[in-house]
Amino acid sequence: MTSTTVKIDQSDGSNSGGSNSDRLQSDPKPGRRPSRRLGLRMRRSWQLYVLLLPPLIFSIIFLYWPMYGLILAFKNYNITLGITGSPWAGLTYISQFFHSYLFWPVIKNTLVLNVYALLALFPLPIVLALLMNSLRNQRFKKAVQLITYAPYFVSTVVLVGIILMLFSTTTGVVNQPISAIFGHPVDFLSAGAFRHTYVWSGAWQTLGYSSIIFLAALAGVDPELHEAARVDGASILRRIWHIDLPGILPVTVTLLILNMGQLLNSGFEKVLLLQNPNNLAVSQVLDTYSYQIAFQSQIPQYSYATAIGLFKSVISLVLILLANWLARRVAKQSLF
Amino acid sequence: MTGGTSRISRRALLGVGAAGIGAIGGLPLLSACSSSGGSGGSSGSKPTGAPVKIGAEIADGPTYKDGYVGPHATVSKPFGDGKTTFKIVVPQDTTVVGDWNKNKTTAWFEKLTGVKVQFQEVLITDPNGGNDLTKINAMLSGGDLPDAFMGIPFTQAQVSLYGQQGLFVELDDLISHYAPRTQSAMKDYPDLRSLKASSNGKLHQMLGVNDCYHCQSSNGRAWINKKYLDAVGGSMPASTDDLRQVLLEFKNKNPSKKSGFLPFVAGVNNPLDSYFMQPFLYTSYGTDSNGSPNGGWLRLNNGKVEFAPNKDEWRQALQYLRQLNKDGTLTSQVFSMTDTELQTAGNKGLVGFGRFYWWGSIFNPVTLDKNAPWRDYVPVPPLKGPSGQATAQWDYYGYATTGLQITNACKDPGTLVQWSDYQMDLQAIMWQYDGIYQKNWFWGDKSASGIDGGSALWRDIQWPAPAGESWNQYSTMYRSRDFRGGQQVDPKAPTYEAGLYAAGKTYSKFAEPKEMQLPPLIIPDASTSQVADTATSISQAVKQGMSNFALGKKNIDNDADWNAYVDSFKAMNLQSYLDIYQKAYDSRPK
Amino acid sequence: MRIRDTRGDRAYYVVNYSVLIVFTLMVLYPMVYVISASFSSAKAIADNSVYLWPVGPTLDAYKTIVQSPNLLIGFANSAVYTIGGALLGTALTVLAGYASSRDDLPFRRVITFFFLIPTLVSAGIVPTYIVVRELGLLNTRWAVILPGAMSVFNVIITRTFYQMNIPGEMLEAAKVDGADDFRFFFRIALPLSKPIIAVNLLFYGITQWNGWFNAFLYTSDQSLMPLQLVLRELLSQSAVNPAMIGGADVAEILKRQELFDKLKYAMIVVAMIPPLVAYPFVQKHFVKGALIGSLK
Repeated sequence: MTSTTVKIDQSDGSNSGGSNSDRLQSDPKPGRRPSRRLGLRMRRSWQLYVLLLPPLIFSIIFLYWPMYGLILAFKNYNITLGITGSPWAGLTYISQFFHSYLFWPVIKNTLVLNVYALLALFPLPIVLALLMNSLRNQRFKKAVQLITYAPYFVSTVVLVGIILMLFSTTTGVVNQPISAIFGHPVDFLSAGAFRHTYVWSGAWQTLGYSSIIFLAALAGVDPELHEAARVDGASILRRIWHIDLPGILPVTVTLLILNMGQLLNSGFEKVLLLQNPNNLAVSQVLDTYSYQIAFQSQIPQYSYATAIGLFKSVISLVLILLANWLARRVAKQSLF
Repeated sequence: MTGGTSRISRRALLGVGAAGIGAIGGLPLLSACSSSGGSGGSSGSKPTGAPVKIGAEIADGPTYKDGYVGPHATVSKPFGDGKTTFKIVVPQDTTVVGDWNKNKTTAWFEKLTGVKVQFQEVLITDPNGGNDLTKINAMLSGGDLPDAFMGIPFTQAQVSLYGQQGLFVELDDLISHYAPRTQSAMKDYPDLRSLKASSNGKLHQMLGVNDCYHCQSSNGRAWINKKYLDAVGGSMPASTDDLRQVLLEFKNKNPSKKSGFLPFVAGVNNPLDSYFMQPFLYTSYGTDSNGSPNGGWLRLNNGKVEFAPNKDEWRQALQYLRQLNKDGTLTSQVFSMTDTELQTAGNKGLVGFGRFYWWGSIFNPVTLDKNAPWRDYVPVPPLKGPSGQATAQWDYYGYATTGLQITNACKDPGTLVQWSDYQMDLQAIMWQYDGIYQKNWFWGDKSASGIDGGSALWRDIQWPAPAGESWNQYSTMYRSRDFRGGQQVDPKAPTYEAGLYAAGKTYSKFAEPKEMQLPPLIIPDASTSQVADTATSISQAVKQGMSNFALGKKNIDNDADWNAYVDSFKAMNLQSYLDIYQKAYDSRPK
Repeated sequence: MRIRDTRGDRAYYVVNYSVLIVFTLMVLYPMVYVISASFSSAKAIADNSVYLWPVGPTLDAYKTIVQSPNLLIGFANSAVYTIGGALLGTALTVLAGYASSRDDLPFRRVITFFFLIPTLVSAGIVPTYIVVRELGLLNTRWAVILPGAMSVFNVIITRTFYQMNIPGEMLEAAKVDGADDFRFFFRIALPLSKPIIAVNLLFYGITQWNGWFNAFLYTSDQSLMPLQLVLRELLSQSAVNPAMIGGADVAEILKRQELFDKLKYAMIVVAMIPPLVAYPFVQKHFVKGALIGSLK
């Protein structure tokens, strides 16, 4: 068994797709290098900058330019005066949001729902990809991939429709046997069950699609490593653990860090469609709240919506930096 | 548009100097029509020529019933110059209207008025059935202004604000000159102008009327299955106690003989309060009793704006609901059932009593078959409460529609005002509503009668019209109550409208007093976000409170629980919320 | 060389197959339901009597869709947007992903951070609309493709792939042979990144295929509408707004309700077919060792 491990460790530098952790984080320490050398290195890398040019220009025009609109958070938006011409409002909207009665419940609901979703839905596509990857019957493998990927294309309206149809307390297929056995139906949209219904229906819809990226990563794992490990008598589970998993670790860490930046975003439309008075206490999340205030009020509240959005951005930035720092400490990998 | 744009840009540069240059990037470019642009709004062009008058009745027109109030079919002459093309933004609707620019009614109306219009279609609904003005708002913010908007569901506050900012043209002078039909509609409906006026008292849109009689009670209706009621030997409940007994009978005897019978239904979109609070206290229909952020559960008490859900009578109502819950007749389902679930239950014959709008809420499809099971459901009149009170929610102000807004980009608002006014002619209304005359609709038969029992004004063969023929319901219409009541009924095949009219009659006797109802109000721009914030919290607290107390998750008999609920409203700034409404009410346009 | 499975391995495969079969069936059932419902009568759906097979079979829904005048235009437009968006997005992503993956690139961290910020900050609809308007793109095909052309998520994932799969030694060796960065990228790195290129093409293609918002916001010409917008419009107009029950005429509500019930399932089936057909072409790049094979 040891030999397998050693082999993998050796394979590090040679194209195995194994852990490249050292390279991922081996950023130059800028302080140590004199600026002359930096200039030299920049000149030497001019071709890389040329490659970067199109995406940079794209980002500046379509991603950064519109960001001037963020000043709306500090303005009283007047539709005739436009974004730049509207009068300043200072911190009115930010402070209004912080002092809103629902601020804390909404933050709590959002985090609980999304952390739950992350814990449940992040590892599963990896497991699914590993299971599918180790299949030897190619036809079966391809069929499973195709079928599990299909639900991604079901629209939210219909997804919720199917959930309600299957789990309805009055006429649902699932509740009919439950009523027969326990004498009363289970309300899958009650305050107690809402989060489970939300998260696991999400699992149903996205697992197959989310596993694609890991399948692609697994394509980079050298089959010879598996062969060699088999010769050494390593069981399939051990090989998955010692060959496949390290092979997808960098992608996993990258995705995890990126996902941390999305912890305040929920499947807005789905939450809204699943809401009812019984579960409002847990189902009112930041996105539905901001939608209700900003776009169901008598006049669309762009400034307020922008202020809430800005708050989300700041929190997300903190979360992603934290995740990056943690990843660097724990997994010896990081994005930047 | 382009010419005006550059002119204004130049003016901005010359007049404002450097500050103007900085602002141009995000500044929506105003165009030619705006003369002042100040807070008073632009006054548009001044009327010229003699005031427009309504023509004589057309030959072979309809028969009007005695005392008829509403649109007339009159001889109209084209007035447009036939050259100028107006750009008007309208809702996209491929299923009924089709391509607006190739529509049959568009062609007919262009001939009638001589005005050329280029329609621009915008999708304004989302797949959940809600309005989605995202694109309209982006267009407004981006300064892409058409000459007018028609059938776009702007809120009154939006029209008022944009009008006062100079985006929409002020119309009073133009209407009094060019719009005789609008003037007569304003005489017929004295509240109409004030309902649609901006907060500064000026009018920034053309007025529309769609006066649906049964809709006035639709929010607060409840229905019971007459067959099931007979089967358990009950009689129509008249009080809260009666209803409780009937529900118990339903539960114990299961008159449907089917498993899964539901004695009592309601749902997410069919909330309980609009019916069940009435026996205990007035919960006025208000601006929106579904508790949307536009405010809900507000009522007037001698001119003072009041909030109902923290009153002791509200508590009594919740105690009553809790009692039903203990009886086992009210379950958590009355809060959670979706429209589809209700329909499935109804189709299967599982519904005993329910709080819902109409038969279509619990049946799908609703066939016109004589023995169709939906015919077993009859409206339950408002219940008498412990104090002997019985009232029904009644919508006094819902008839005013959002008609047409003319923007400051329009060079000739007078023509558009007249164009819009022509849409209030009876013939034009029928064309726009149902397309081709003598194909989709006819004038009423001489001896036949309409929904309201008077002589029939018109009859339709098919509605909505086939795609591409009508304008659905997006025009500046004048569909008065008598117009709607004049729809011919075939006694052999009664449709829903007649039944709904009858249901409306059941409730009209109990209609809440008009002076208790808060009319739709315009919240000043500066307070809108605060109001939206508080309203969202209130809405959540009221809905959650109703569910928690009725289902026993919170104890309604326990003073601590109740006080915590009442106190939560204080923490939401209820008082300043009410103050804002009070001020808006006191200063409303009259 | 054939090695027989150990008992443990056989147990693993039994568990693996069982888990996947159960999961696949769980996923399959609702899909079958959607397909069956799309062929069932509106009443059967409302009655909740469709369980597995179509009840009261009918092609009404598909007829309505086929008769929708904009359907063919929508299909053609979607094809253009999907292919254009996939190519453009993948090109931008691979360029950004590769260059920022090179650890000898000065300011790499800054650049990565620069790309990352927009995933956290959403500028909002109005400013983006104004930018598209300023660029003169309103009512053009570019307005549909360009604003969301590059996803930073994909850039960062692609960057990770390059870090994993293009070993430093390879670059060193190529440099010794006299290859510059352009040559290395186009001749060596690109051919080696087929799986991630396939994934990018798929992701961007699907995003464009499923997308309706850009077209909805930035175009008003029906001839520019993608399929999803055509379908969304059909669906939006048939959805029944509970608030509408107060105002509109009952007959219209009924008509819309019926249409809605008919359409919503059939639309998913229609819109799902092309991505499902396209998937196997991407899938073949996921074969074990595909990357390594091309390396040798």
